[in-house]
This record gives sequence, C-alpha cells and structure tokens, in this order.
Amino acid sequence: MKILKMVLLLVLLPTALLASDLKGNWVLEKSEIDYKVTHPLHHVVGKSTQARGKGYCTSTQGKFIVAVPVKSFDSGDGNRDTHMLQITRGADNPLIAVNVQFSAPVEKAFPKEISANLEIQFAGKTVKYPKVKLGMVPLEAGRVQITAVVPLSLKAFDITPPSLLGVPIEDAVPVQLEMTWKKQ
Amino acid sequence: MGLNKFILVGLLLMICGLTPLFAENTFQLNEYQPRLVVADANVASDDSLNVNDLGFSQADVQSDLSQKDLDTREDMLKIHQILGLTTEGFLLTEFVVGLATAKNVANGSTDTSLVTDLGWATLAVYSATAAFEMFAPKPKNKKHSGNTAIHEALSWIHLPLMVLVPLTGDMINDRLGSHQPLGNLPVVHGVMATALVLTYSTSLLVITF
Repeated sequence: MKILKMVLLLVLLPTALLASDLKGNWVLEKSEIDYKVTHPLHHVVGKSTQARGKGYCTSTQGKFIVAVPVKSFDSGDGNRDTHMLQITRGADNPLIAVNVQFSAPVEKAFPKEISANLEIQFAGKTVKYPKVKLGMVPLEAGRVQITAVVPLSLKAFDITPPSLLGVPIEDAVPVQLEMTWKKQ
Repeated sequence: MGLNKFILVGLLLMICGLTPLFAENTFQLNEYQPRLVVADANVASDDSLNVNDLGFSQADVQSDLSQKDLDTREDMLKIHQILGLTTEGFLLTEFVVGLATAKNVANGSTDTSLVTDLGWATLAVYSATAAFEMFAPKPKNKKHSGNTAIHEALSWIHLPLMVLVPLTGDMINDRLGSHQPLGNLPVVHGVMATALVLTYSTSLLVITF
C-alpha cells in the first residue's frame, strides 16, 4: 500500500506543478521591447521599458494584454524618435497594444516554449500574428521570463517606410520582447 | 499476477494516461489541493483585459505634438534636408570659385563679381535651409540626442561663420574698390570659409551616415 501511495504521488506531482505554475492572474513586472530598423546606411535599435501588461491563465487557455506607449521608444536620437512617432501616427494612436492568446499546454509541467496567437493594434491598424513562439523560463518567487520575436511588417500596418537619400528602410522590423511576469 | 496487483497496475495506467488531460478536474475534485481551485476562482474575466486598465496616465502616452503638427514638422524637415543638400552644393562651388578668385586677386585682378554673387546666393539658400528647421513644430519635452545633437551643435559654429564669411568678403570688395591694401583680411576670410565648409559638411555627414 505504501508503494501505491508513492507511485500515486509521483504521478500526480507533475500535474500539480502544471496547475500551480501557469494558472492564475499575472502582471507584467518589467520588460524591454526592442525594434530593429535596417537601412543600407544605418542599423537602428529602438528600446522601450515602459510596457505594462496583465493576463490570466486557466487550465485550458491563457489570455494576456501588453501595451506600450509609442513615444516611449528611444533609438538614441531624439529627432529620429519624433519621426518614428509621426510615421506611425503615434499622436492619434499613442499605444501599441498586443493581445496574446494561447492554449494551455498539458504535456509538460512547465513548457520551455508555447505557441501563441497575437493580435497587434498599432498605428490605427489591427494585425494578427498566429503561432508566435514564446520562450518561457521559470524564475524564482512566482515569476516567469518570456522572450519572443514578432516579425513586424510596416506594410501590414500601412506605414510608409521612411527613406534616407531616397532609399527606404526595409519593410521587416523585427520586434524583440523580453518580459518578466509575476503571479498575483 | 494476483487480483490486487492487476487492479493496482490498471489504476496506475489509467491515472498516468488521463491526469495530464484532465489536470484541472483532478485537482478540483481533490479536496487536499484547495489552493488550485482558489486560483481558478480568482482568474480575471475576459472583460478586464483592456488597455484602459493597465494604469497608463495621459502624460504617459500622449505626444507633445498633435498628428497635424508632427506631419507639418516632417514636411518642413524634408524641405530642410533637400535645401541642406543644395546649400552644400552652393558652398563647395563657392569655395572652389573663391580659391580661384583669391589667386586672380593676388595676381592683380579686382574682378570678384562671380564669387560675390555666388556668396549671396549661398547665404540665401542657407538661410532658407535654417528657417525650415527653426520654424518647424518641436516637441516640448524632447531633447536632441545622438547624431541630431552633433548636427545641432555644429550649427552653432557654421551659423555665425555663414554671417562672417560674406561680411569679410564684402570688406575685401570694398578695399579692392577703393584700392586700399587688403592686409590679413583675405587670410581671415579664407580660414573662416574653410571652417564653414568643414563644419557644414560634417553636420550634413553625421545626419546622413
């Protein structure tokens, strides 16, 4: 009978971890969001640490929202940041909002990676990015680090690529997200 | 295999196969794991996932300039950029013509009309270039940084030079017209003109590359 109890404990422990690790309400504790712009003469990285977010995870799904002010991005050049604000219609649409939705994984106690559907509201447009890989690393004290790269396209958001000496920047502007979420 | 062992193995197989799929149900039914049920009960409803609930203030998100002002600024800076490149063309031409004129004057010529006319034209295009930047709408709380800061700092050198170089050129013309000795004035004019071309070209290069 002792053996049965031991085996039952070993079998049930992973499911306990799954539920306790992901389920519940989460809040974005800190983040760094970078966008990368490529031009034959320049490689520019704009950063923001002003994102805020919240969400929840049940046993079946996770739903999160993350938003960041357009004006909070710093590329190291104030004039370029103002230009970015202009071309992305940042005065009329001051927030970039990302809705994240995923099905809760059941096969592992704590997945290293999950596939999420993203809906990004930016520059007055909403674009869906399905099956974006989110890397997950469990941290201490109910925290999780999430990393992802969103393959943002300027055309998708009707943004005219800015040009220098008549040469426009590349349409692909990959956005790297590094976030630490805390369980509430 | 005895009946007890058979039941035990069957039970284990069933638990192994089904618990990952019904993890929540298993734990909600398990009275010894109340924390997990509580976690589910506290899970936010879908309605609460709204950007308005993230706690951003108006100051956090609102741009200093309206979209109309941002567009106007962009249009004016585009003209500033085109006129700036045109000014560079005028400046370099003026510099070359100035060197040739200085050589002619040293050989006794008093004709400086081409360099003078070109100088005034350069000043006019330069002034228009500067005006489109000066009068463009600016964000209140935005400080210049990066290459734009260098571009602006250099303007504090080439702007006064753009006034002094034509003035000294005009003084040289006056002295040539009244047959007075030129003294060190051509040297001063030449040094300032060289500094003007260098600082202006540098300010253009840093903003481009």
